[in-house]
Amino acid sequence: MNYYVFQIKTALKDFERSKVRTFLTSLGIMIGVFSVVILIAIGIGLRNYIEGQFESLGSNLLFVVPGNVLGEDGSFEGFSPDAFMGSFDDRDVSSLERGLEGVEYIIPLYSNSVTVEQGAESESATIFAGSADVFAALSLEAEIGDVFSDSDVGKKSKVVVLGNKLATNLFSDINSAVGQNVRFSNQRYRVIGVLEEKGGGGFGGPSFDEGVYMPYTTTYSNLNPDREFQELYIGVTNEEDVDRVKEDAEEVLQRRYEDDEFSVVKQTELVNAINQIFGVINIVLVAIGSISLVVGGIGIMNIMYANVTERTKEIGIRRAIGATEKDILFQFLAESIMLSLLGGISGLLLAALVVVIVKPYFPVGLDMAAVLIAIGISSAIGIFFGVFPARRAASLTPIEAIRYE
Amino acid sequence: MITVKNIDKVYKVADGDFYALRDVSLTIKDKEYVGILGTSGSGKSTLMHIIGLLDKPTSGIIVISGKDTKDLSDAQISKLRGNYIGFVFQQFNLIQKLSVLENVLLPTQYSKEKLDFDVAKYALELLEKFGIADKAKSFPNKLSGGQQQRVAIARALVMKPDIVLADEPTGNLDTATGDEILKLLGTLNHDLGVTVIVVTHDKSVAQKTDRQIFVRDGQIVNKY
Repeated sequence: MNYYVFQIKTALKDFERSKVRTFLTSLGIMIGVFSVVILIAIGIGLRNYIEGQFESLGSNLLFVVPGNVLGEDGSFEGFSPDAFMGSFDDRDVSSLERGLEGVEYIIPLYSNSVTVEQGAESESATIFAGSADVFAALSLEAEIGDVFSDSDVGKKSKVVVLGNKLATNLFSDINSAVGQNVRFSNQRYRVIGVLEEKGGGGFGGPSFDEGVYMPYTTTYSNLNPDREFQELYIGVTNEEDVDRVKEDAEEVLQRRYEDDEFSVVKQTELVNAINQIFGVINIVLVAIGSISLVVGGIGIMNIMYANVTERTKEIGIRRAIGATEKDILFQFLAESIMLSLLGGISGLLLAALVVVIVKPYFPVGLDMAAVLIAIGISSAIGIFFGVFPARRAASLTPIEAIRYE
Repeated sequence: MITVKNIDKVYKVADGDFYALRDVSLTIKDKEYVGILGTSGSGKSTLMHIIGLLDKPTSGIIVISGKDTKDLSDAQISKLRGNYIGFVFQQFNLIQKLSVLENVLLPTQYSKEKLDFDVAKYALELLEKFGIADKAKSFPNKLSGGQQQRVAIARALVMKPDIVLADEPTGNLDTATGDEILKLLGTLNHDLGVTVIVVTHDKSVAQKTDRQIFVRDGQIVNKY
């Protein structure tokens, strides 16, 4: 034990002697670990956020989306280009309404990005145009005023309900929003309500708090003249009927579309698909972050080689007074591992600090596995990149080393 | 006892082999105070390095404290070096980032066996004996040459070795300080019973030892 304490103290003494060099050498690893941990944190945060949004919708919901999204085994196949274009219409809604039993509602959903103007203010927002059931399906409630009704849908009323954040950004006082008009796409719409805050950030998918909610029929006149919908939501009355309704819906849609032109997806399948996508995204992010770790490791190797040359005489002295090759190997290896760990732990602390600061504004999450991987990787880098210089130090014969000037 | 038998040390050079030592044999008994005397390039330092197990001969045998060192592993040679031999160099060879006391204690850190004496206490006793106890926490660069060489001698003695090898121990010191160091080495031999081997080019230094061995052109000769 004392021997290891001695070796660690020896390494620390060397760091103390060359503080700037120690700092600069560990900086590479610090940046690498910071990038990896932060990128994983962002990946995890986004996944949790989007997963949370879909989970909050309830497991009795079915999504009808264009293209073949899920494979035979229910695994995620990828979005087809069609997935981003509207390809359902009123006819599909009617045939589903006729052909399905045990269904509470079917919501056609049209969404688009717009710039909403109110007085001198203007804000980017996402339109969620659906039937009046959209609020129940998305678990949204009005904080001020009211949401639109079936009658508004029937009358194609030019009314909107604003997400909480959007209303806050457009109006100095959201209590005054109801009854006022907002403009987008050269049309004027009356605000009839402001929703309760739903939470979450706006990355990876539109935020409900920044949405404009309106009857889908209202979009026909201007925004959606082709009367197409990107998605249909089917609310199943009893959760145990979800699989049956899914099969029935597929049967109904097959009368009009080919198998690969649409998908009926359960909420659980969607969550699994999201997990898969983010799994891949995370691997890519970590691979990118790891490049800086490797660069940092090379920096350590470089400095350790310089260190061996600079301290050749010292190595000779230590050998003369009884140090074995292994002692010298361990000394230099301990130094490179400690340099790496120093960088790794600093990077981790910095990442944790950034996560704490950013968390209220952006969905990030520190993962214990990421922390352990970061520390593991930085130790491994210390060993891998330290072992060559350390072996060179250990292989010097005492007399060669002691004579070195 | 140190026995050196038929040692050759050969270096490859551009125009063939260069014999730094040729067929050297000698015996140094326990508790002897010996001077190895030779001019620059005579091979005396190479001989010291080989006796001190810092370097390996090209051929020949070295037996230290009854152990033939020929087939020993690096760990075994390091252990022998650490436990039985102490070195004093012309350049002092202290580690500058370590304090005086840390330098003196350094050999004990590499000992894989538990030592049967209080090393810290013994190190301080040595510094006290050599009149530099007040410098224990100082760093080598704050010390005079004579003081640094005393620290080096204390370091050489801290493992209670049987043999101390001193390579030109007065080479970097003025005459008065050099004399003090030689007196100190003599005391180690006479009072502590340590075998002391002083390697020097200086006749007057060698004359202070009890027996002189002359080296010339890599061979032991009868006269300087």
